[in-house]
Amino acid sequence: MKLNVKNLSYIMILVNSFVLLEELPLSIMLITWSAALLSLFIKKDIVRTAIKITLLFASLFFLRYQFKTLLVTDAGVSFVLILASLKLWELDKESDHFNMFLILALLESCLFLLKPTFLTFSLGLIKIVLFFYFILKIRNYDLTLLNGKRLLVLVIPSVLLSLLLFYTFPRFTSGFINSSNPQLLFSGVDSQINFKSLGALNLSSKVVFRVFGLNASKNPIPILYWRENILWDYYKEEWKTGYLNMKAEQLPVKTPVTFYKVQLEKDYNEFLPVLDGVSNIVRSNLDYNYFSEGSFRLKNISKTIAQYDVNSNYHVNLTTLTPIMQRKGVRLISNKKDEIAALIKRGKTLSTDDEKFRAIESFFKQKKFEYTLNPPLYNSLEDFILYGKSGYCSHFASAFTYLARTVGLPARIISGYQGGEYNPFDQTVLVREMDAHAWVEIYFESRGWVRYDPTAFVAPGRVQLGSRNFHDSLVPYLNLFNYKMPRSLFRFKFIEQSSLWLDYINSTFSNNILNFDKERQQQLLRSFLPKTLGLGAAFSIAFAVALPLFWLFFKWLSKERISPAERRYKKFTKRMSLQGVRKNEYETATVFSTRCKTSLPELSPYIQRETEAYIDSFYKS
Amino acid sequence: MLTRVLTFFENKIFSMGRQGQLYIVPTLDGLKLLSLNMVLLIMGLVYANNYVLLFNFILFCLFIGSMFYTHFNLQGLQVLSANFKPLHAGENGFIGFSFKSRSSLGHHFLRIKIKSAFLEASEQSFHFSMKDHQSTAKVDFPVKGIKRGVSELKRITVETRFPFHLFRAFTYFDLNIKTTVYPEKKAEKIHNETALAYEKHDGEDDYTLKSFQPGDSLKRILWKKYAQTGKLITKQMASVEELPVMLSFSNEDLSSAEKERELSSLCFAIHLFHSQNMNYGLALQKRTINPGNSQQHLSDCLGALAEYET
Repeated sequence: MKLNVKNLSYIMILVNSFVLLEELPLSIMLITWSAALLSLFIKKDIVRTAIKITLLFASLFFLRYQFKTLLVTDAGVSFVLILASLKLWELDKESDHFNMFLILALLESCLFLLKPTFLTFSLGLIKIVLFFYFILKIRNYDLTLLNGKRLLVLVIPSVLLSLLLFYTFPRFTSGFINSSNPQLLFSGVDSQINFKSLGALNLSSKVVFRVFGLNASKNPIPILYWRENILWDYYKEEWKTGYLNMKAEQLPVKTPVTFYKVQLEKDYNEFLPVLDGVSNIVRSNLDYNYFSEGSFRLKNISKTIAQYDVNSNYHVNLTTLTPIMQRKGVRLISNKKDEIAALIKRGKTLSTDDEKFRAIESFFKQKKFEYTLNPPLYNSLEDFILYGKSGYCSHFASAFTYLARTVGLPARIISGYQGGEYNPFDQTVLVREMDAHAWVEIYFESRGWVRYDPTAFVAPGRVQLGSRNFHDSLVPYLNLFNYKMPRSLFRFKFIEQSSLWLDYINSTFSNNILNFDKERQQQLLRSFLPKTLGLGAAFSIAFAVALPLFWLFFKWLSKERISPAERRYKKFTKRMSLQGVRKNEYETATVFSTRCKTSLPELSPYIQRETEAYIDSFYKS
Repeated sequence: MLTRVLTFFENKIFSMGRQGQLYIVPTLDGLKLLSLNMVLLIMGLVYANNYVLLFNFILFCLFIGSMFYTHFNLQGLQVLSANFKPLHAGENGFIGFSFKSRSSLGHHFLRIKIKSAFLEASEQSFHFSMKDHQSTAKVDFPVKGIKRGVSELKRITVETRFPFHLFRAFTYFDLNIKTTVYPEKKAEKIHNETALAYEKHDGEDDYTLKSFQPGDSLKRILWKKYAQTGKLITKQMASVEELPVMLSFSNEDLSSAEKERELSSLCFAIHLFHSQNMNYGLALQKRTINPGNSQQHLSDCLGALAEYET
């Protein structure tokens, strides 16, 4: 297949549609692909136009049907994708090629909106540059003229100027949240466990947050617990947060303090994960509230990447037990509560907290639960406790909290993450979706809220090995084309290292480019600009200064190659021009001299001298 | 519509623009890219997406960079000389330019544009370049004669869109060179050929025999000899005995179309007589050229035809 503008357009649209497959509905993709496919076979102009118009209206109808409104991001992106595929129908003229280039550039930008990663950005740039190269080729350019030196002359100052503009351009807004899935946004994806729908678990390796400043040698990263939100209320098989009326001032952190910085990279941010124990957020780019249960919740759910600095003491328990907590911590509405309590107590009277704890622990151990990522669906939590056999962390944490409450021990479920991966390239800890975890906190009068992880009892490997290794040990084979292949065959150190390095690049780029928000811009520019100077003025000045510099750079490159004799003669022609005798472009020095002498006889000696000097030097050289 | 507006301004600048002054305007592609820049800027701000903003700034700065590059690709160019060899209408020829470069960046993909009622560029895609190290270049700009006439090519436009076609930089060079386009060579109509002198020559010694050469008059072929020998033999008069002819219009009351046809025919005849080394003259309404046969004479006659009633 010959690589030309048309084929490249097909490739780019198909690649982009596959990249967007995760984000956009399949119906949109089908329209895109069918438009691209049909454009290959239908050649008759009238039929082409008819089909193009039909597809355009069909796509608008689909978009309206799919997204309920056309004014959401996903609908806009879908429309641009379809538009690009329809443009494939007319790629005959040079102007069409450039129009295609503009549409593809818009499509790449849409990709940056939905997938803001370094990889998407860099590949997008490469794709656009490649496409533009082919446009130039079509225009019969001798592309050897655009050699490395000339391109650098153009590209380096352009990129430098674009960076200057990027860093100084005033950010007027923090953006608008625009989601095609509002119910997810408002309910909060982390704020509940619906026991009835706890089915098979398939967590990805997508990074949820990264932590800077945690020293790997001092912190047992694989076994660290990251608390995010606390589930108190149990009603109709659902565990929900109960942070209302718990808003409080942050607690002071006792030494030894671990200081670190978290960058949250979820699609929608509601809670801010921190190290378990007592934590205190020192600085955050988004407004948040602290709750006395030990959770931090953003004031507004945001798509913006949250960044915050935290002080924590991992080894200290939270001790706050307000009357509301006391009440919520033991509340249990269940028909089988007494039956299960009797099974735990076995006729004994449990008077102290420790006795109660030992009783429920013993009951839990007797059940001999098994860890699985693919448990059956249970009708109720009680069914799981009484008859269940297998589950994962959410099952065990729910069950243990239930058991604690039946004997009157205040208990709550902590939803968060456990473990993480240390990236030596940028000394960060990567916590992924697959590290999601749930455990229990039980209140002891003497010690406060104590962490208890029932999963660690059922499957110690989950805590000790880390989620990835543990999950791999659970399913050591990959099923490829009906053949079982050992996972170890696919786990190369080189690939793992490359993936960490890529993550480091992505993170660095995100830190310096993607997360360069209004606050960071002010912080950066204020460090070397007077406070009285507005950011808009700073941008204008930067642009006004950089542009002439850019121009001067070219001026310097194209500096005139002129000999001293030529310079002298140029001065002479200038003087003659001022006297009213202007040299024609094609006129020789002798002819011009004669004309000058005729018009200005009084200057004849001067004219003669200058002309002779010029001719002498010209021929001598 | 846009093309019409652009043409209007182009014509305006062409007549008013200063020689050597460099003008630069965005092309339609450039304007489209600028519009995309605006869209991306709004998009980047609304979504607070820095990748979109950075991408937009990169495109914008390449746009600005290409503006400078296009400008400096033309700056420093000088015309040293220009010459034009007259041609016939419908014929291809060229205007020879000698360019000088004062820029160390070189000049790439330069196009020449002329405005003349009698000449047009014969190759629309013609362009030339001067490499970095080249300080002078000779360029033959291909042209085609549209119709006969004499005019002065006052100025030419030299333009470039290098490197990205986003900007068009152009400048004017005043040439003031005379361009003559002779009538088309066509033997369409029989014109008047008046014998001015006819001397009878008696005796066989007045001529010699020679082999027929292309261009020799068929009247002088000795057909008897041809029948005998099978070879074409012509008579070459020993003394100057060419029959000078005066070419003129067959009729003075001709329509303009007929006149043009007759001019073409005269043009053909002039070339024919010139190639046969015959003496010929031209008698037009206001101008008469005495018989003769030389290169200058040919030019004079053809020039007279080109200038006729213009």
